[in-house]
Amino acid sequence: MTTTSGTHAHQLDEDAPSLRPTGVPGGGLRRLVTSYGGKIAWYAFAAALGFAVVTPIVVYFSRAFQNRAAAIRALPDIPGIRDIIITTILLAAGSTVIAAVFAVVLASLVLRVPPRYRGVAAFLPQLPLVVPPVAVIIGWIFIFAPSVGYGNTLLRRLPSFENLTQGPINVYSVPAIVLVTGVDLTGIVFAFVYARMHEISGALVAAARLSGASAFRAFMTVTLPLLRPSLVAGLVVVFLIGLGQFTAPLLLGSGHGIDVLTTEIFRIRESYPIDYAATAALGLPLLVIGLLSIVIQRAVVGDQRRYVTQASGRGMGARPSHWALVAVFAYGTITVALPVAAITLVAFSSFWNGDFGAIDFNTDQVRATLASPAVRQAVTSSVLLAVIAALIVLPLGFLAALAMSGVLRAPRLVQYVLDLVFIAPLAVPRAMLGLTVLYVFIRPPFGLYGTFALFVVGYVFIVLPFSLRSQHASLVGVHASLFEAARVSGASQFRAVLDIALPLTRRGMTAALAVMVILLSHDFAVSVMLRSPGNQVMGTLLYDFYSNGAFPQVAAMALIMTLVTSVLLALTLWIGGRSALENL
Amino acid sequence: MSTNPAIVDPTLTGPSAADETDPSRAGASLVGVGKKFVSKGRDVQAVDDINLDVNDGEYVVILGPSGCGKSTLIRCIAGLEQPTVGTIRLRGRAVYDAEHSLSVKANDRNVGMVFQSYALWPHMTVAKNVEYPLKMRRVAKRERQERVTEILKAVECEALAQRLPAELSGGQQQRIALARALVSEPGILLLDEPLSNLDALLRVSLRTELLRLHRTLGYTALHITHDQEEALEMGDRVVLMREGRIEQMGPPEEVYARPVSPYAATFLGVRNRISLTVGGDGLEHPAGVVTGTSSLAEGYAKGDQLEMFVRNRDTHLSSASSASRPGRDDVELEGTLAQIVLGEGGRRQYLLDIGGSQWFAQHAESDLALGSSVKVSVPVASVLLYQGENLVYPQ
Repeated sequence: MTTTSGTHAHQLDEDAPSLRPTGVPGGGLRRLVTSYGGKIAWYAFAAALGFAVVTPIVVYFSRAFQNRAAAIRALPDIPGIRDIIITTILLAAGSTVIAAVFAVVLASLVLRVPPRYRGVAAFLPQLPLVVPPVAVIIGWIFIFAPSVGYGNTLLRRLPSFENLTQGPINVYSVPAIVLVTGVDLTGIVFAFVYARMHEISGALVAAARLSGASAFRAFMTVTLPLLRPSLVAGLVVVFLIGLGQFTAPLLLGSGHGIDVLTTEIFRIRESYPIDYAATAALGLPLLVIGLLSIVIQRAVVGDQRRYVTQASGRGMGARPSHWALVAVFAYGTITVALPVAAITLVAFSSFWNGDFGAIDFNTDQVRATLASPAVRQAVTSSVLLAVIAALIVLPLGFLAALAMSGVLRAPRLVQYVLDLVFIAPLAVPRAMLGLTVLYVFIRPPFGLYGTFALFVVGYVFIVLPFSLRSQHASLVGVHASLFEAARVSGASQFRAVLDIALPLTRRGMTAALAVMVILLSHDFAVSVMLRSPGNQVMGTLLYDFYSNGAFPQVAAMALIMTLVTSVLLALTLWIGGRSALENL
Repeated sequence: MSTNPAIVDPTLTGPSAADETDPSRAGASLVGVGKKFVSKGRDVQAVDDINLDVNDGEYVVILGPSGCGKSTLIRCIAGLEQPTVGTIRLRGRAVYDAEHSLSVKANDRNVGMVFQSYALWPHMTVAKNVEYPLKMRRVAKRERQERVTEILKAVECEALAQRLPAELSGGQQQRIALARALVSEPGILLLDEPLSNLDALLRVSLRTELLRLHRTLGYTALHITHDQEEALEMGDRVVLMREGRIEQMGPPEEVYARPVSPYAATFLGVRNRISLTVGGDGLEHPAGVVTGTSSLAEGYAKGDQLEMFVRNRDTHLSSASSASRPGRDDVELEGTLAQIVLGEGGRRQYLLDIGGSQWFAQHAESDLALGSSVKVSVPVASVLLYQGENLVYPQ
């Protein structure tokens, strides 16, 4: 109907500067979104944000190239570097495969769950994203530590393992790390795959079935090919996270001769003086692969339009089965409930020695831990710092969402830069991000060493990508005419943003805020890299207890962390409804 | 309508602008308006040299197929898009002038607009939606409430005031969108395909409704549509657009009776067309002669090409063998009856094949057999003849 180009028709028209009538006075934000120099303000916003995000990364990694890249040339001399690289790749590849298989199987299962329970069932595979990964890993240690893990003690009662003194399962091993990481990552792939599969399973599969294909053939010839883009996108992300995985290798591997790049970097960070050049050189491949994967992902996303399917109505969904529900629940129980049960058990015991007889359900440890000022302070700091970082990032995400959804007309270049800036922190593994912030921000002009501000900076980097996504999602689905109607009704650009865009984004904002606070409250990698004596958050305190071998305390701390997260999660669900979690 | 002096461009107060102010205070006046943009490296002329005056209180309908530029035009008037050349004046006040680099922003143009998608804000109640334009114009709260009640009454939706848009039917949303556009008594009401999202029955009843409101409230309106029936029924004046330009403009009767070009005829629903050649004894088509056309052919050289257009309702069908002579003022063509279908209003439509052209006829003597030869007669006064792009008959 219109002959205008699509993008133009979807934007509030902001005139070329020369065509503007008298300027409207106002403050900074008003300036930005109103008339005068709107374009310049956008460029300034994008440039400032780009500078703030990219510079620390460049500054830190350029250390690797100093003295004619001495650190890079010294890499082969690092003892065991070959094994480290092999283990890193093995871990990433292995956990990616596991995540892919689990996610597709789970998505198929969830689609067969009776509709009444489908919402809950779809949430279960993503539960490991919400429960603190540290807590789950600690849980698995309590279950499958070779000699005193409760799981192993139970297994040794079986006739075939009767004469073993250790095992049969060793949690401190590469396969265990791969499995634990894989399960952790399954939730991410599941999120990518499930929404697509839900669409595909309607009329498209029905058409295949009516054409004579069996359920299996329909899956192989229609579902899987259509799933490919989202599956590939998910796997690229997951492989990247797998390469930079830190928590599981640190807790399960590094004390037992299994090292990956991130734990090796952490080892260097723990020695004094810190050889930043060496850590940057070690992290360089992770950064390069991260950047590459973003490029690939953007290419795949561009391609994805070819795979756009109509939001198909009711097709012939697979026949609902209660067994599917049972299977999904079993998965949730084994991957989350079991480890959490294990930490609970240990937290309420005097000792952890694998002997079920020693479990005496005393509350001493929990009470002592709760009473400890250090713990209380850590809990408060965690939540407070998480909220502060999230609040800093939220308006940035809102502004970017306004530009990128076309509500406000921002130059194409600005949109492009913002897109990259908000995704850039994802290209850097969490542990590297922590070290980057440490390196840059303890130095002048910042000098933040030993302050909580250092954590805030690190946390801002972590959640920047999450601030944009759900706000963008809530604006992008809104028809441009809603904003145009406000303009025609006499609202200024600023007023239209305030009256229309802001209320419509409220849901997305709440979701973004909740997701950010939850993710930050159980952050481990960045916090451990940034920690300094006296400044503790939950993750760092837990690591201290762990390093000291105080297992009941570790258990109590992990339990508290899980509880804090659960409370935050419950609050989110209460305020925002289940849809609030869709943006994880 | 009061204009806020603070936002009037300074050039307006200069002598040149004062000269340009239209003393008649017409509803809207467009002079040489054009919009060009570049798409995929290609220049696209979306709107080209549009000159149009809308009188105070007039209801003008712009008609055209999708992509003809009518939406772009209306968006340029609203200030949602920028033309590249020309002048737009609303109630005598220049709101866009390419030469003086003047462009008043959408929020300062004092227009009302009904969007195709209605664009009701989902987070506000009906009353809040309708109140919004008044709030933006700083109308006092008391008066706001009165006017909201008043306009909701006018669109017969008083009972819906506290509902959310999601709780309304399509027709109700339409009325609320209209109420919101009218509540501030804008200088001009713009309607962007306001009825195209409704089902056929509702569309017809809302047309009547819009006409009634226009009679009662007397606003100036510019309505765009791709539906020729809607345009002819509603417009005081119809503007037919083609590829960014105005093809024809006039009162509905005139536009209906004399479409200026084959394009206009086709778009106004004249379905039967045939290419003719001037022969020795009137007009001829490849498969035969058109009888009764000797007078029509006068003044043309032998071999000249003409296009004949005829409306279904002006046709009468009879058996080829029937002796009855047509009236003196009828033209007559011969063809084959291909199919009989049930057309609009439950009337039979006869599909004919005339020298390879498909024709629809409406009136017929009974018991004509499929496949039989038939004659179509058309009163000569109902014939439209074109030479190239020009209407040559009726003069």
